[in-house]
Amino acid sequence: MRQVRAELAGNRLSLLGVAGVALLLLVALLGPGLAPYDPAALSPARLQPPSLQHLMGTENFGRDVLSRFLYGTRVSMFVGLGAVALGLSVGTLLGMLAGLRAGSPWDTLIMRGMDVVIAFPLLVLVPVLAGILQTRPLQLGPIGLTSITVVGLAIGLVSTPVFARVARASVLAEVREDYILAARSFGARTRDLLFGNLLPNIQAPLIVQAAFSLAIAVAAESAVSFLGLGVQPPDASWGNMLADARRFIISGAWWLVVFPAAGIALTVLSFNLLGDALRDALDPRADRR
Amino acid sequence: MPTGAELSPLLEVRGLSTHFPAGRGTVRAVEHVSFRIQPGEAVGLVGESGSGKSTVLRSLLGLIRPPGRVVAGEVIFRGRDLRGLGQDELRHVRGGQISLILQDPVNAFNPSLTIGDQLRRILRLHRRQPPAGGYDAEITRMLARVGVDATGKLHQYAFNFSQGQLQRIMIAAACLGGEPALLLADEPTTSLDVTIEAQVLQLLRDLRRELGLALILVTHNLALVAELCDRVLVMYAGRLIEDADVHALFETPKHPYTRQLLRALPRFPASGGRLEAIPGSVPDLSRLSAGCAFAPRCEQYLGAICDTRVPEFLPTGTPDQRAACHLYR
Repeated sequence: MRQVRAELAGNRLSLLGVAGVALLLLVALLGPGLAPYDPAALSPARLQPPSLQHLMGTENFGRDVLSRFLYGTRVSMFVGLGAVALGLSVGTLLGMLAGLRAGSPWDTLIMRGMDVVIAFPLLVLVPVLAGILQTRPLQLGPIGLTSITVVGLAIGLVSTPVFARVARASVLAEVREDYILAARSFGARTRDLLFGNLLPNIQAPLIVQAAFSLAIAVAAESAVSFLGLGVQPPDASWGNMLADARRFIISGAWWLVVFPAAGIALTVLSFNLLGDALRDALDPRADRR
Repeated sequence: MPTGAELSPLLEVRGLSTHFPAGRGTVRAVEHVSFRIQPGEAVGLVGESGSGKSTVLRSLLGLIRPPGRVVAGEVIFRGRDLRGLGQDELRHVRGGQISLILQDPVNAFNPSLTIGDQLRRILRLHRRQPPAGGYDAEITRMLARVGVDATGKLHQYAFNFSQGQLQRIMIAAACLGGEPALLLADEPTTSLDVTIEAQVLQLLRDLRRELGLALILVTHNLALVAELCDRVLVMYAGRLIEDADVHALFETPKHPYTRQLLRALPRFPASGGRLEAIPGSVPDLSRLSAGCAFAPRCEQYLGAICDTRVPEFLPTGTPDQRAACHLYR
């Protein structure tokens, strides 16, 4: 862990990634507290360029863009983190099971199922899923699903196969090791092998993949919301802010486009930098200069 | 000394066969292996690399990884066939009553977990309640017993210990399960240097005396067998070919393979001549002939019968010594 920290601190780009991610998380956490206005409050001051009262200007209903941007950060982070958490846990579990039972019908069933999911491009499958799930209000027992949750679930499902593949490949390499044989010879159960013995040894590639998947998830959420199939108004998301802005670009309201787009770009960049840095830091074969 | 017939054996293996599918054919790694182990007995299992020794050990505990499979046989331990046990019952035998010690202790420990963590897991798997004084006290006591001072070291990783220490810790782990009765040691000292090897052997000897452990020692080091074992099983090409008292084996080896093998040992003082070797090489286990697998290399080849019929275990005239060879028909 100390080595990882030293590695991250030793490289400027890595540091940038870490700082960017930290800033995003902070904003997502504090967003509503930082917002100067209610993000849904209408006002007569429509389409104002950035000023001291409205640092990012106002949009066509007079809502404050900065406040909406801050709320949008929270939505993007929530969807991204939730989706990756879902994909990571389900994918890792399935992949580990497949790896442990490599060659068995279970392995075939799980991995071919993952192939089916992976066969569809992310930006096709997520809108389709979100569209299907949102044709009527969803009610699962006591839990009602908001559009934000639905998008998170859809992206989570789509990001599962990558984790399953990484986990399976890592388990295949580890399971031949003597320590697994030794653990079994001392009476370890399957769940002991999976969570006690294998998981600690395959976590590095999974963590790295999680960082990259987060970047993809944030971009996917924006894309889907831009198409109008994701986060629904009045909830703000970078994607639907961009969609709303389309009609006013020609009239010169640049601030409606630039800020949400910069948010998306910086988020994707930060998580990619973090992923690269973690890969260098966690891979024992990587050159340590 | 009571003979084997009076005591009920601790372990009785009957007709054990383990096969691995490979390419077009099947590798018959272990074929019709039968033997008995009495309580407290130390038995050496010797043979060349690839003769199936380690596979026998792993088959006993059901540790063969698919696509390999134990295709036939019974493994009767204390009156129960281990092959018929459910996963849960088998789990309690593994590490509880029968433990496996591997050749390379460095790889036998999980690199991401502390030693204390790994030993605690073994204890928890086999003890319903924490032992008096807690898990760590019990672990420290057992480690002290095998000569490892564990004070303040339980939170360290395997790479913080030397090979010799790790093999001692492995042996301690084998005894942690509660009521160890049989130790399966797969070349336990091959990766250690000579002085450490001697210490580990002494430790195994002491533990056997104190706990009444039976031992199956897999090795190709005959000197080790002579030092530690009461009885020897010789394997060739997946089959047992000789089962003998250790003294009988070294003084009057009965199977031609055993004879040729013993002649191939270097002697001291050196005679100055060339070291003898067994001509030919080990057969391909996926293409065994219908007859004795050793026939093509045998200096007492009898003709057609050796090529067409697998020899059965036969008494050889010496008590406590049997050989699978047509010479003794």
